Amino acid sequence: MSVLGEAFGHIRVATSELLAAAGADAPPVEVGLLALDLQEILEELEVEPAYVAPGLSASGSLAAAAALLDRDRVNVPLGVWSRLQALVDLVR
Amino acid sequence: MATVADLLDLLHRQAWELAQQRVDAPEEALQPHMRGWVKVAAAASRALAQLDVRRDLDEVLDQLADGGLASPGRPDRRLADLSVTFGGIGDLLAAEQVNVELAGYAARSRLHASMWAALNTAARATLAIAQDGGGSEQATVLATLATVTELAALIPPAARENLLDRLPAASPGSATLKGAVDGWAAAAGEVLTNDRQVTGYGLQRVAGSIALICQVTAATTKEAADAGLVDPDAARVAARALQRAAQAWRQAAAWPPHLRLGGRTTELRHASTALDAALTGPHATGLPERLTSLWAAVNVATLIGDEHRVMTARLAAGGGLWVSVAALPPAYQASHPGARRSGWVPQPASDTATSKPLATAARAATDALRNAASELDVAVEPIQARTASPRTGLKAAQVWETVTPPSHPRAPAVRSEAPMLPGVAL
Repeated sequence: MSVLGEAFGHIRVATSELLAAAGADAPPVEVGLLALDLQEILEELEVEPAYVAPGLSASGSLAAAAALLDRDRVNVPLGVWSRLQALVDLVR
Repeated sequence: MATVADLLDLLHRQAWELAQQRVDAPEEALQPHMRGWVKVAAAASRALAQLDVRRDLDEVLDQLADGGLASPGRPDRRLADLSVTFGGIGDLLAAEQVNVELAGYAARSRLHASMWAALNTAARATLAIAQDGGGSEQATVLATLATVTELAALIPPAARENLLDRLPAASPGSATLKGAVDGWAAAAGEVLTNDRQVTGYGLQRVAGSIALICQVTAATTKEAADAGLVDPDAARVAARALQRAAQAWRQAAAWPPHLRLGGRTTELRHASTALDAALTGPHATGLPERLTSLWAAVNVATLIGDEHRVMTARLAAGGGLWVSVAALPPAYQASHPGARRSGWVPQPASDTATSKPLATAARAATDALRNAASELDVAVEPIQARTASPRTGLKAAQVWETVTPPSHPRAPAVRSEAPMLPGVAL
């Protein structure tokens, strides 16, 4: 499984957490939509996601994805990198 | 961007100018007028039919449109202009068929009356020419048209205003909320009704976009109540229902990580991004127009939501989604030694327990949205009666009331062209 695929798996977990959140402390739905759009961009790049079991929080999952991509920056499309960084900042 | 109200203003102005036209030689003016009526009758007939209110004029409009009362040649320019405006209204209503139907009878009948009022003024102009110019057959037809539409022309303009007046004409993808909604609905409809194009992203993103529409509409409804545009109690009920719908659609958008349906849905991604920007970006219109546009967006979302529910139910029932091998029971891996634990396989028909909640969530979200749309209808309906009219300057428009005429057993039979108005009997 590629680094992008592993990161994709973490992003899927984060997206699920962000959208399923309810209550006053839940992040705005727009943040979940940004995460979904990042997933679609990875689909368009024909990246197959790894299955990552739920367990981490949304911020933890995004941090895990960012850490993976950080180790392989030369192979990561800049658009994916910048979108992920924006999400990390929003969900921090 | 023209609205129905803008086109109606133009229509009434054109009819008024026609009536003011000085005619020195009625014999010469009659045929150009009748040629103009061929176009006006056809365009008006089409526009009125979209409203499905009354068909009293069908026969007389058909008679004018078929050209039997006119000789070949150039039509009167003012009547030709009227026909173009009727055509524009017809186009706009055809493009807004869903919202026209959902607007309710009262709104449709008021718009219907506005068009009848213009027809009345124009018919009287030509009737005078026909009477002076020796056109008895034409005069008979135009007199019928004028009689049937008489009462509509007597309604004060403010009492004819309605929710549909604010519907704007815009093309899909244009930089307006309506354009963005139309573009999104077209892209979503493609994805949700085609087994080859549907993806997990498509289903999730549509659900998330509907959640955003509901969330923004809830906030705008509250804002309208604070501004005194709508009844605060009705607005509170509608906003609460919209917030519940937003939460329900958010849940429908949240898929568990072990399920997926891959593929590219690029067009929907672009359309959804444009919708997000239109919903949450700077407001290009005033609060009443914005609330009306959001009301229309909720109506569109209700239809798209139904398509989402149907597709989700079909996929979740078995065989449509993919599942992570790692999330399947050990028995599956034991019986499928070739399946990589890190891979994805079509969801076995025997293992749909984890996908069925998707269908349940989609159904709950659809129900919540239908309820919210109904409450929003109630909250938004009186907006014209409570706001200053941009066209008339009135502080409070008259509110329509349906009045049942008293029964007169010995009264003569009412002819089909009797001057009864849709939604009101005076």
